[in-house]
Amino acid sequence: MLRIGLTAATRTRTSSGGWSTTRRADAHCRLPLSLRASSLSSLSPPLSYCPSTGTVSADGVPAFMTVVGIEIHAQLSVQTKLLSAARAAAPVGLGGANTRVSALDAAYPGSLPVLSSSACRAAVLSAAALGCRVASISRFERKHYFYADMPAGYQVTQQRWPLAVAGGVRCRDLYWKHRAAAVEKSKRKRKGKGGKETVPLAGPGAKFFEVGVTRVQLEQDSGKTMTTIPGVSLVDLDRAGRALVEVVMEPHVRTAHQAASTVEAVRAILAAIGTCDGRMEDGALRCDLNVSVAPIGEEGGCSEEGPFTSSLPPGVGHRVEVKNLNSLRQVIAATEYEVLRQARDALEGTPTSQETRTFDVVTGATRRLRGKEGAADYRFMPEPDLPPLVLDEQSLGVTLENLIASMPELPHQAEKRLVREYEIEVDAAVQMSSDRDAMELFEGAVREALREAPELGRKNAASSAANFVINDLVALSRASHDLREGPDDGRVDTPIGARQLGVLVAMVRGGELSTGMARKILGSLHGETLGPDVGPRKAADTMGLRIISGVEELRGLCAETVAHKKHAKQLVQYAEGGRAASRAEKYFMGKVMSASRGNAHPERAAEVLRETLDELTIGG
Amino acid sequence: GLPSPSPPVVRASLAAYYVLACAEAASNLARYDGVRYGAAGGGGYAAHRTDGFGPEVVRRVLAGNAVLSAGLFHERYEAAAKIRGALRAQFRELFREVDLVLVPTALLPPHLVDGGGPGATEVLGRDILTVPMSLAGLPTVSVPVPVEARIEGEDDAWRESGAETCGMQVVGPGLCDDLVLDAAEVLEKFIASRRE
Repeated sequence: MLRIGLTAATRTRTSSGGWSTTRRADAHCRLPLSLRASSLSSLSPPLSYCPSTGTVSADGVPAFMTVVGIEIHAQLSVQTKLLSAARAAAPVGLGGANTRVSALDAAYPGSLPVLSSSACRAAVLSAAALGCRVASISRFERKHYFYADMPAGYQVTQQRWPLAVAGGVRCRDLYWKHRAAAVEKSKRKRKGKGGKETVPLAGPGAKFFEVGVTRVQLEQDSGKTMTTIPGVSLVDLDRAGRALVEVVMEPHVRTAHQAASTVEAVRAILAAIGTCDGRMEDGALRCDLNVSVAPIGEEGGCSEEGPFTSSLPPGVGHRVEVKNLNSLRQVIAATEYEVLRQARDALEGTPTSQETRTFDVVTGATRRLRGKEGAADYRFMPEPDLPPLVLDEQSLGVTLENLIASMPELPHQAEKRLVREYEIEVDAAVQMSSDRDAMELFEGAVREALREAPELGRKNAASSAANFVINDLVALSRASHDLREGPDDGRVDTPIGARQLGVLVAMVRGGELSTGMARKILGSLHGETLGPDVGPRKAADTMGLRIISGVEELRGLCAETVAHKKHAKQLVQYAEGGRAASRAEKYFMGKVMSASRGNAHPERAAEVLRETLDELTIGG
Repeated sequence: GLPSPSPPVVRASLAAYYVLACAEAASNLARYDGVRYGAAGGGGYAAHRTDGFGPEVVRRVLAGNAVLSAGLFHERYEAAAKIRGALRAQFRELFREVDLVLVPTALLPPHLVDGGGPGATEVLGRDILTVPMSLAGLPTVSVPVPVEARIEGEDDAWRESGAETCGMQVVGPGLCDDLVLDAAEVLEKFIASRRE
């Protein structure tokens, strides 16, 4: 029995009964496993996967390439469900199960569907943002299967006449972003700066690739089943009937990281236009992978040309569907595992059969769920209770063209605009353009900073604001959500508002605060330790943070310190001059700083201190 | 003559109707699984559905699932949908020329409930005159009219059955339910007045 172990961590029981997770020595960072060339050697020849090219080599010779087709289901952020008026999402603070279920959602006899126009609009925008051609007429169908979370016994979807076809997405390859991170991190470690985690900026060597979109269709979500009580399945229909778009991508992905990058690119696009605010971790953005391997250099194998080349190559076993992936990191791990497993099977002469497998987080492996024989016949039937979906002025309120033209800014457009309007670094623009919250916060903060201090200038305000957002707010957000996984975790999630950040920028630029002080204040505002919605000035006062640069105040401080009985000896040393004097000066500086609780402006205080000391020693 | 729906299409509409009706029934009845309603005692889907559905329902659900299955969908369901499309188009043509159409409800007299009647499939066959309008989605009202079995040989079945009335369908264009109901009332009154 071949055991393929790609785990980066093992969990063991501690003596107190809890769990402790130990990471392997070379997995010191939160980067995915693939940065080490994973090796598989139970039988010869040893197989290894190269994460940058997606190539599986047997005994060092490239043998197979990776081919992945991705299917993404994204929950649309609209008020009601696709076919009923029940609320799509629970209002904040209201939980429970089966609280937003209409008669239709529970498939009570006599209930009929009514299509939500906002769901249609959101789906159209999503498809257009993914570069697709939107069909002015599409149709709904029923996909039949029996399961407790699907009350009607069928799901309403669009199989043969989907909403949109033939699009494409340009994705930034996360592998290179994280290669830069790994290099950065090891540099820091060597310099002894410790493992402070900053999300690396996409530097030179950032690579892009394109993935085609086969189709985008509207469909219903199912409910949820839970088996918290043994022997009993609990059914929650709150989610049943929610509007989803299914995005099916062409099998153009060639590495595990590209697979994760594609999912992230789609997420960012849908978040940017506001049609899907969800992420993999909340189950609002789900993806299934269709993984297969193709021989390199053999007749009939895939060529390495470009994105829009062939579909699945023949003769190497079938593509395997992998389900149950809940984060980008899992996407990478599952793909790598599958590719190695399929390569192994192909080399041993038992190419993998068409099957569905589930990913197991704990072992990092995939497990067979069902084979081809277990695949259901869904008995697709045109939905008789819904008319064809005609997208025109009457149904949408505007013409299809106008609706598409009204689409909010896409990430790559935002990137260009931020650089142009704010003159910030490209890397900063890249990072913020894929995080709508960060971008809104940044632009708002610049506005507020200029309101607070108009003489500041846009470029200066923008530069400070961008730094705070990308460096500090991202780190603070991550720290308070340490459950989140994923290579591209730079998302901002903070209660800090644009006004607070803007005022802080103005204070720092105006010399009222040092950057270090601002960081402390940000920390307390983020954690709301002083209460919600506290202004930075109030926070600075409460925390005693304020650069003291006023001459009078500094004089007072220095005079007090210097004249103190305890420091009489150092005063004498200063009077002597020479090396003793400079040591004494440093000593006094330290005392002044601590007397001011670190708030004294270093350069000014040094000047004033010297003056004070000279007065005392030379004068007296 | 008038562009009446052609006989081949009318004849085909019976099979088409049952294909489509059974398919829809199988789909619409999928929700009866005993999970949310209609269950007494334990048991899974199969148990509930076997016990809970009568024989005719079972027949139709099985037939419906068969015609929707991947192998048969094209030849059965799609073909039936095409026939329905043709029938609808032909009726539309007809209703450009006339306002209403009269069609007998049954070709044969009613059969006895128990004993010696036609088999299950033959019974379905007797729907030949009502099915086309259902398939085409046209409002139809069946009005009882007196029947006179006059012709020797041809009308023997009617004479022997002892039936005094048979149905006459008043058919109107799609969504013209009011027109059809009014016409049916006129016909009814006419029949009643003639009786006196």
